[in-house]
Amino acid sequence: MKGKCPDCSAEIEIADDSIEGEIVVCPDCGLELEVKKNATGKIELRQITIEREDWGE
Amino acid sequence: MNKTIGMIYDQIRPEERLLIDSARRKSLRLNLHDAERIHVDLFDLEKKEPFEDVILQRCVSYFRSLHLTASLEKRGVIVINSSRIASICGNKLLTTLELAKAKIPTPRARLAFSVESALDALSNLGYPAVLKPVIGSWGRLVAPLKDVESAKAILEDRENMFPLYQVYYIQEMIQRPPRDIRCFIIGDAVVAAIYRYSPKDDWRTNTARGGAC
Ligand SMILES: Nc1ncnc2c1ncn2[C@@H]1O[C@H](COP(=O)(O)OP(=O)(O)OP(=O)(O)O)[C@@H](O)[C@H]1O
Ligand SMILES: [Mg+2]
Ligand SMILES: [Zn+2]
Repeated sequence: MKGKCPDCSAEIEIADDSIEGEIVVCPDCGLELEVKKNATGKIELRQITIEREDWGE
Repeated sequence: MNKTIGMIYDQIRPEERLLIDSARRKSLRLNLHDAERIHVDLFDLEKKEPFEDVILQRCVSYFRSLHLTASLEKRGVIVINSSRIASICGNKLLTTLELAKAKIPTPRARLAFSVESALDALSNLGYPAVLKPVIGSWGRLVAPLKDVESAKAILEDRENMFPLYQVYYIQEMIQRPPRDIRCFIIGDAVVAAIYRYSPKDDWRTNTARGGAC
C-alpha cells in the first residue's frame, strides 16, 4: 500500500499490517504522519496534530 | 484459559508497536481499541464487553486516558495503569504530596493561587525557581523564574490562560549540569536510566524539547 506525504507529496510505503493511528515518518521531509481511514474507508496519511496540552507519557 | 487482553491507544508509536510485537511473541491475543472510535455506556456497568478483563491504557492524551480508565474500571476491567495511579502520577502536586508523605527527598515546592501569593511563595523559596503546570508533560510551560521581574511577567501571562495554569506549583531550582538523569523503575528495581542533555537554546532536558540522551 502506498500513501502520499500531505506536505512534500513524497510517496510513502504503508506496511500492510499497519494499524489506524500508527505513526510513520516521511523519509523525504521528516514530517510525522498518522495512518487514518477517511470517510470512504480509504487509508490515508494525515499530518499529526501539533502537540496537545495534555499529551505526555 | 482465554488469554486475551486489550490495548487502548490514540497513536501507535514505536512503544505500542513493541507491545504488539511482544504480545504476538508470547501468543497473547491483543485487541486494539482506538480511543477516537469508541464510546462507552456509563450506566450499563454489569458487563465488560466489548472490553477485555485486562486493558493496557496507552493514550497519549492524559485527559482522555483518565476518563476512559475510570469508566472501564467501574465495569470491572483491570486497567494498567489504574485511574488512582494515573491521577497521582499525572499531577505534580499530588505526586509531591505522596513523595513528601513517604519522606522521599524531592525538590521543595509550594502551592499558590494568585500572582500575589505566588510572589510570596517565591520570596520564601528564593530565586531562581521553577513554575510548572500541575498537569503537563514533555516540559510544556515549565518555566524558570530568575528574579521577581521575570516571575511577575510569567505569572501575569498565566493569568490569561486556562484556569488549570493558575494553580501555581513553584519549585526550588536545582543547581545541576546541563543534563539530568531519568530512571525507569519496575517494582523496586531500576531497569533503565538515561542522561538527558538539554539542547543548545533551552534549559530543559526533555527529549520532547530537543534534548539528547
Ligand atoms: N527544579 C528544577 N531544577 C532544575 N531543572 C528543572 C527543575 N524542574 C524541571 N527542570 C528541568 O525541566 C525539565 C522538565 O521538567 P519536568 O520533568 O518537571 O516536566 P514534565 O513536563 O513533567 O516532563 P516529562 O514529560 O519529561 O516528565 C526537566 O527535565 C529538567 O530538565
Ligand atoms: Mg513529568
Ligand atoms: Zn514529506
